[in-house]
Amino acid sequence: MTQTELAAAIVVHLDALHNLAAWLARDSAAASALVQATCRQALRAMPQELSGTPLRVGLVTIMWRLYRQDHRLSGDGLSDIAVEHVATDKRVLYHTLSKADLDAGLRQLPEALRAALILTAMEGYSLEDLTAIFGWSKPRTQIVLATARQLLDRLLQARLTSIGVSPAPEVKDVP
Amino acid sequence: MTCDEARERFEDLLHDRLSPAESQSLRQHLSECPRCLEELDAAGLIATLIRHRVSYHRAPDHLRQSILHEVRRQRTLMGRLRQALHTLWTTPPVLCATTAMLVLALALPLYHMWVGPAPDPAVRVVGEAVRDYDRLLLNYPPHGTNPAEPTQIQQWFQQTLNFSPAIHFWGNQEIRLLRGYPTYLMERRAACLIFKMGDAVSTLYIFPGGDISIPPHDRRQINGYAPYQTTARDQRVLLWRQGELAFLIVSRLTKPELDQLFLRIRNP
Repeated sequence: MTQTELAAAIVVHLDALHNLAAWLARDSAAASALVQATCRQALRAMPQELSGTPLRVGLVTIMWRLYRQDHRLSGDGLSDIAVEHVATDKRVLYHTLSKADLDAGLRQLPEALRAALILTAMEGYSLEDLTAIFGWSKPRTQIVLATARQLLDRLLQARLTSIGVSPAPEVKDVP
Repeated sequence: MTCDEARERFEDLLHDRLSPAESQSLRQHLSECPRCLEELDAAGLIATLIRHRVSYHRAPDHLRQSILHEVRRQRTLMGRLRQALHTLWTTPPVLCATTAMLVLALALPLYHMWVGPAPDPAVRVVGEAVRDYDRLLLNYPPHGTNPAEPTQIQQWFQQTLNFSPAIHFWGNQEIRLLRGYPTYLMERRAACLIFKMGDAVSTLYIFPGGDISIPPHDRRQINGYAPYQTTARDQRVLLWRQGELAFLIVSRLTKPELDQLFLRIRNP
């Protein structure tokens, strides 16, 4: 890939990069700084680093590496999480939650889990992409995604309980 | 198909990336395994919520402009280089000479990189800071939303930096503080303040630098202090450490003016 192609592609992926950065960083300034650092590093070093890797994966890999270094993250944040089984009956009520509730729930997830969910659900990254970005094995990536979903499931159900929403009682036909 | 194999395909199923045969095989497994079916339902619901109901943060215009500027700068540099190479390679009389020069030009840095010692962190950080300073001058006067008020800058630093930058000098009538913002130097967060004295712009970078040893040579004696001084791309640079923090000034000031700025920062 030439520098020009790389530069054009960075512009194409800018929204996706900023979205992930905004979900990782504490505020918009930190998100912008993270995106700028990612792009700067990509323009400097990526044509060599990227042999055979899809560009969007390479860009997010650089961003995640910078974020991890900056926040001294180690591991994937799974070690201290115990996910309980959650009831399924309340899931039908998730549509009653506001955008702010959903945002708050997602923000409560550990960074790696949050990033993995955003990349798969919003940007359509595959399991293979995630293994390349985070350096996890394929089974580990599956566990991370499953745990992230269960944890978010639990957080959203807790939110429903706290605002007093419960499923309607089942109506049975009376003969 | 086992449960593990089925889970491996959930992402692809949710994004319609399975072949008809794979999809059929997965659906067969789901019809026989209520646990996987429940997990897939939950995965689909969570994915839909995230995709359609959660905030999506598009890149703001100022960031887009800043990246485009950086990209254009890179393109211009590469374009000029390519044109020069084309001219050299399409002129027969100089072909041999060019080849020899290119081989030497490529081989020597590679030899230096492989055989020679790794670049000194102090040299690297000076190089990155001067490049950042050049970028700043290209965009001068600074625009955008970076704050100029010390309280706002301090608040921003508190929110974005993973260290306390220990800034005691926030400008005065003679040396005005223009802006402050968090940035990156050598892949680590840094605080950056922009000062203006007369017509000359100076930048001060403060960053965790416990691992950066200040070169013992080229020290400038200023009122009992001895920061490392150097010149890069026609800019004067002073580098020193205070505890675990490294301080670096890039400036076009004259030496006496730079000494004055240094003393204000080092010994307010």
